[in-house]
Amino acid sequence: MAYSEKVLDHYENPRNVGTFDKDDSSVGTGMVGAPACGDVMKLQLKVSDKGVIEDAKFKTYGCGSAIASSSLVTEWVKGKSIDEALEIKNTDIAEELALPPVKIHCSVLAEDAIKAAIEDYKGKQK
Amino acid sequence: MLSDLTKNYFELFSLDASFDLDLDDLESRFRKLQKEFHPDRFVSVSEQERRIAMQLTAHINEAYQTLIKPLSRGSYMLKLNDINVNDESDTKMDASFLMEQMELREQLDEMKNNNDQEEKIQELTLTIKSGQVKRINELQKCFKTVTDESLIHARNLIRELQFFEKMATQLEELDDDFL
Repeated sequence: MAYSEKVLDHYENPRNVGTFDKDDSSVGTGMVGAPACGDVMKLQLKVSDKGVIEDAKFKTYGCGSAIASSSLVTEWVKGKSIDEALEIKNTDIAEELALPPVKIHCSVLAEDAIKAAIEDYKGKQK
Repeated sequence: MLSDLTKNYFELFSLDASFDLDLDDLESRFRKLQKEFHPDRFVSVSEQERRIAMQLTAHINEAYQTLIKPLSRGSYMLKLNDINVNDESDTKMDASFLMEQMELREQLDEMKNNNDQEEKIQELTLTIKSGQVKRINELQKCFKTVTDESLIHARNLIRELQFFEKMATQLEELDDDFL
């Protein structure tokens, strides 16, 4: 299967790979997995007092599409409020990266990682 | 013969649906069926019967391959209970489990970049093996007395086992590279 140029670009030059301290109260960590292919994705968001995502980092073990999807969302969420970030849909990701149907689940993984990270962040603010 | 095609994998081998299978017994049942429907025995029959025999041979092979391994056997038993293990929209898993998996992958990555890792590879192989054994034993309990709850638990275990399976494959590849 041929990857699109955008997938290759993110795969070869992944943006924002790394880790924040998961115990930091301004950091939300989202962990999701795809059992069928054994992919694991971690997305971390650093949120300001005003609820704006200042920075994002990811670490993904999976195929090129999974890596590209998570790399892309770290770029997209930066500067967004958490509510805006929640509006990112997997279909947006799949379209941007021109993912073939068999790889749509990678974009689902990335969308769910955003949600899980925000849920984790909100849980810490209580 | 045609009706055998619609039998489920356990029925095909005249077995009760159970996770706790005697694998030697399964193998001898498989060999017997294989012989019974071997294409060589259907040379002088109609084209249609021959085709059914061929389909049946494929069905028997698939049944055996599915039941012989705990992971696929467990998945299949859930399928018989109308439970889908790999729903692509279900990405939620225990966070600490995923964290642990990520750490294991990191260890594996490190090994790829270093030589002289024989000891570490063995260590990781053991960790994965024990993770698998622990879950397979749990599965045994889940399928012994089936309830809605035990099936949900079984589904989680199988989902987790798939991650270990992936690790084990990657580790094997790594090991091969060193040889």
